[in-house]
Order: sequence, then C-alpha cells, then structure tokens
Amino acid sequence: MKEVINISEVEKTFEQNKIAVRAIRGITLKFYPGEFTAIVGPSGSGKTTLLNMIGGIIKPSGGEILIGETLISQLSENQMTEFRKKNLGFVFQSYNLIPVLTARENIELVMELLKTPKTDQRKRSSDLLESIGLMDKRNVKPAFLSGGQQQRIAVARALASYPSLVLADEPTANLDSNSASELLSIMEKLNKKEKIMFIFSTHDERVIKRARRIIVIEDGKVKSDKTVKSTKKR
Amino acid sequence: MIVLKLAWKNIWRNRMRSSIYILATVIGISLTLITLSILEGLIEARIKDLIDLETSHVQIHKTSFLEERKFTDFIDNGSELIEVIEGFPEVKAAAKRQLIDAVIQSPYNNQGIRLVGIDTAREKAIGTLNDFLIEGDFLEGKNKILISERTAKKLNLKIRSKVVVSFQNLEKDIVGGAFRVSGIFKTPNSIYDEGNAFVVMNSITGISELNESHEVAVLLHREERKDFFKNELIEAIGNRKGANFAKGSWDFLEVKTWEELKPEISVYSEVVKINNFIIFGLILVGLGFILINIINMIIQERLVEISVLRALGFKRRQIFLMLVLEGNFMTLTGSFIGIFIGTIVILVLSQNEISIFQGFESFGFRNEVTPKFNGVNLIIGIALSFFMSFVIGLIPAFRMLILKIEDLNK
Repeated sequence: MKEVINISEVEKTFEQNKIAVRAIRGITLKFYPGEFTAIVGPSGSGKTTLLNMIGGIIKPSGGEILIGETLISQLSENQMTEFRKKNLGFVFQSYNLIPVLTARENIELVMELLKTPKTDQRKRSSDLLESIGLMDKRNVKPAFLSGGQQQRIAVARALASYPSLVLADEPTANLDSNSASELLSIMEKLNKKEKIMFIFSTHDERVIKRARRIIVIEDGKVKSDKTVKSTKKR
Repeated sequence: MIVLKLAWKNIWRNRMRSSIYILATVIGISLTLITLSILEGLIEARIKDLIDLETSHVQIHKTSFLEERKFTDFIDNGSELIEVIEGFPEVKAAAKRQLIDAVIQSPYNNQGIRLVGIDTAREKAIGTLNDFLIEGDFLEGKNKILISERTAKKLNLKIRSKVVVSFQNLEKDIVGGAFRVSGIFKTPNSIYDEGNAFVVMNSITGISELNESHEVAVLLHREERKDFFKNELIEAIGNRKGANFAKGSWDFLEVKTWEELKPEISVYSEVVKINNFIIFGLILVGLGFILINIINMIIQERLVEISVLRALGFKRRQIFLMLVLEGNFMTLTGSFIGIFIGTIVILVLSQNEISIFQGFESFGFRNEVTPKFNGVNLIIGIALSFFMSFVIGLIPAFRMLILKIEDLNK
C-alpha cells in the first residue's frame, strides 16, 4: 500500500535562552491510508512538535515531510496555509472553537474559507452535527457547551472539508471518562466511515487503547512503533 | 465575507471595552460637530451683520478716501453712478452715503463718532438698521439724528433730546448743527453702535454744502455674484473715465467687495473652515491612540485564537484585515452614531438662538448664536473617521503581520 505521509530523517531544534534544544532527532516514519494512530510519550518527548511539523505549523530544521505528493517542508507559508485548508484537519487540546461563532458556524468556517457553496456547507455541517449527536446544539455558542460537546464540535470542524488527515493534539486531555469515550467512538466511526486518517499525540490510556497503531517517542526519537491487529476487544 | 463577519462579531465579545470606545467616539464626534456648528453660526451671523449694516456686498469709494478718509474725497456725480449701478440685473439696491468724522455733544458729555449721511428710503432697502430700532422712529425729515443706545447712555440722551454735531467742512472750517434724536438703535455689534450716528444727507448739505457722497453701497440679489459684478462695474466705470461730467470725474474710483473691505472677517471664515479639519483631526487622533491600545490588547488576548485560525487556513492578510476591520467598525459605528446625535442636537438648537458667548459683542460678534448645520462638516467627519480608523488600525495589525505562526503558538 502506498504511504500517505512519508517522514524522513526529520529534525527540529529550538533555541531556548540561547541554548539549542533538539526536540526531534532524526525521526523517520510512514503513515498509510485510514490509520488511527497514537503518538505516545511523556511530556517534552517531542510528540506535539512532531504533530505540528506534520501539520506544517512548525518547519523542520532538517529532513523532509512528504504528504501525498507534496513536500510540505519546502512549501512557503501561503502555500502551506492553502495546503492545510484543503488537506488537513486539526483538533486541539483546548478545543479552540471560535467563541463568537455558533456550533454550526464553527463547523462551516473552513468550508467558508474554501468558498464551498452555502447549500453544500449546510448539508455537510448538518451531517456532521448528526454524526456527533449535537444537531440540537447547532445554534449554540461554545461558551454554552460542555467540554465534551465543544471537542465534538472541534472534531466536526476538522472533518468539514473532507481532509485526508486529521491531527489531534491531546484531544481527550480535558475531558471526563464518558466524554472522552464518546469522542473516541465518534472519531473511530468517522475514521471508518469517511476513510480519514487520524493521528493523535497523547499520553491518555483511553486513546492508546483504541489506537490501531502506537508510536512511542522519547527524547525526540521513535522508541517503538507497533501496529495492533484488531480493535474489537479493546 | 467570513472575515467581515468575524470582525463584526469580535467587536461584541468584550462589550464593555468596545462600548467605551464607541461611546468615546460618539461623544467626541457629536461634541465636535456641535462646537463647529456654533462657530460657523457665529461667523455667519457676523458676516450677515457686516453685509446688512456696514458694507453691503460691494462698495465704491475714491481711492484717496479709503486711504485718508478726507471729507473732500467724495464721489463726483454719485447719482449718475447709482443709475449705472442699478442698470445691472444683479443689483437689488444701491445707496449713497456721506461719511464724516465728527463730534457729537450733549449738555452732559461728548463723543467722537462717524456721522453717516443717508438717503432714508435707499438705506431701508439696502440694510437692516431699521430693524434694530429700539425706540423712536427711523430718520424722517431734516435735522433729525439716529443714535445708538450706547451713545444715548453716554451722552444721557432720550428721544427728542437735542445734540450738536460738529465737523470740518470743505474749507476745513469747523461747522456744526443742532439735531434732535428721532430714534435709538441697538445692533449686536457694540463697536458699530459706539461709532456711528445717522442723519439724512440734506442735513449735512445744509451745514457743509457737501452735495456728493463718499461711499456708494450695493446690495446684490446673490452674494456669490459679487466678484463678477465688481469686474463688470469696474469695466462700466472705466468706459466713463474722462467723460465730460458737469463737475469732476470717475478717474479715481475703487470698487471693492466686502471681503476686500473687511479682510479680517473673511479670514475668520477661512480660519473656521481650517479649524474644522484641525478639531476633527485632534479628536480622531486622540481616539486613534485608544484604538491602537485596544487592538494591541485584542492581539495579545487572542494569540492562541489567531494561531488556530492560521492552522485552519486563514492567511496572514485575512487576519490582518480582520483586525483592521474591527477597529474600523468600532470607529465608524461611533462616528455614525455621533454624527446622527450631533446633527439632531444641531437641528434642535438651530431653531432658536442660544446665548453662550458673553462679551463677544465688543468684538463685533453676537452674544446669541444660532448654530449652523453644515453638510460639509458631516462629510469631513465621515471621511476623517474612515481615514483615521483605517490608518490607525494598520499600526497594531502590522505587529500581527510580522508574527510567525510558530511564534503565535508559543
């Protein structure tokens, strides 16, 4: 099977108080269509940095990242913005919904940027609201939603533009058990239904148990990379 | 479209802060408009009084009279000049005046004045002095004099009191005549009141044998035609130069508009117009500093949100535009409300005179002013608001422009 993401010898060095800190030290990884992957590791291991590099938010100091046919590590900022808009979805730890927009408007935000026709936007947002079970909250602003509900809206927003890849940074970190479980079920369902690849950075056991591939990172290097055969019993 | 929508909605996420800024704009703009309308009302009233009482639109004198105000510098063949002037379709009325520096004496006091010899019927047609009579009648008949309330008080005079007026005649002898007070006037201009007394022309002729006038004043149907009329009249007078009049000539006549006769009033008017820009500018610069502060706070508060928008696919320029538009919307909302409120207040105030300037009459201005609504001020207000909010909004928004998405994420 042809890989969707090909990460080759990627490095990232930050400068903190004039001291160079190597957050990622030559990581090489490949990701395949439809994967449901958890990047795991202790705090400061480099998992969020790796995720941000895949998402084009941070540029690598060395190595290459290829998504599909696009070498994203060499894209200009504007090209990267366009690429992100069309191909990637993001879910953040703190939900980061736009507070002045309603649940539906948040979901339609990226489609609005992509100039998707209004009727198509409405249909897609309605489908997603149904999928995440929040149709009745469509006109509610984020401040009036629970953390779990906000994160479900964030997932719907990430999926709105039919991206090939969703990057989720600690998506369950701020959620209680029930909300986390519901969210993961929704993401699993959408992963299977829409064939969208999910990559999580997490140290939440609940996510790790559901993941079909687990990559462990420590000190900026891949410590292990395991594929789990079946998820039925998990 | 989404950028516009977000910018508008963002204004209302911190209602208190936005409302304070909008309120400051409303107060600033509306008070500025009201102040300007009062200033314009003041100047307009001064110009109207000047034209109605003193200069009319255009005046003709001998050049030497304008320089030295000598009794002997009268206009030859004034009646014929009036006929020429009245031949122009622009002319509403014209009047001859004799202007003599004189001393008015009562048994109690005396005072230097400018004695104005007038043709009563023509003077009523050209000016509004008649409207300012507070006692007695306008000049009817010989040896009657019209004095101001101030002069009456100073000389302790009443209606029918007698005064003696003396001045130098053509032979430079001091001559004088007795006059009875027929009317007392009070105009809004105390300088004018203190300096002028009126008699009919025949009265002066009887004392001094002066048959001619020193000044011809012309009132036009439309003020804006004054320069055209002036040029036409100069040409008409030029055609008559060297003509064989019974006596004298028109060789040294000078035609001047009220703006040339009283350049200081014309300058006031121009200064007020410039002032409008300056006052508006200052208010908007003050508001601009508040706006810079607010947008700086917005950027600081929303660094995470801005980075999320960037991650979702917003371009730098879209975020930049969103921030500039937020500033624009707040300023323009405040400006439009301010202009609306200011306009309503001006329209209400302009129904009546308001008394806010005490002592201005000593400078020739009215104490009571009718605020003047001026559409140009509205346009200046709107244009400057647009300009200011756009330019000022750019400054903090540029800060965001130079931030990298990585920096936003820190």
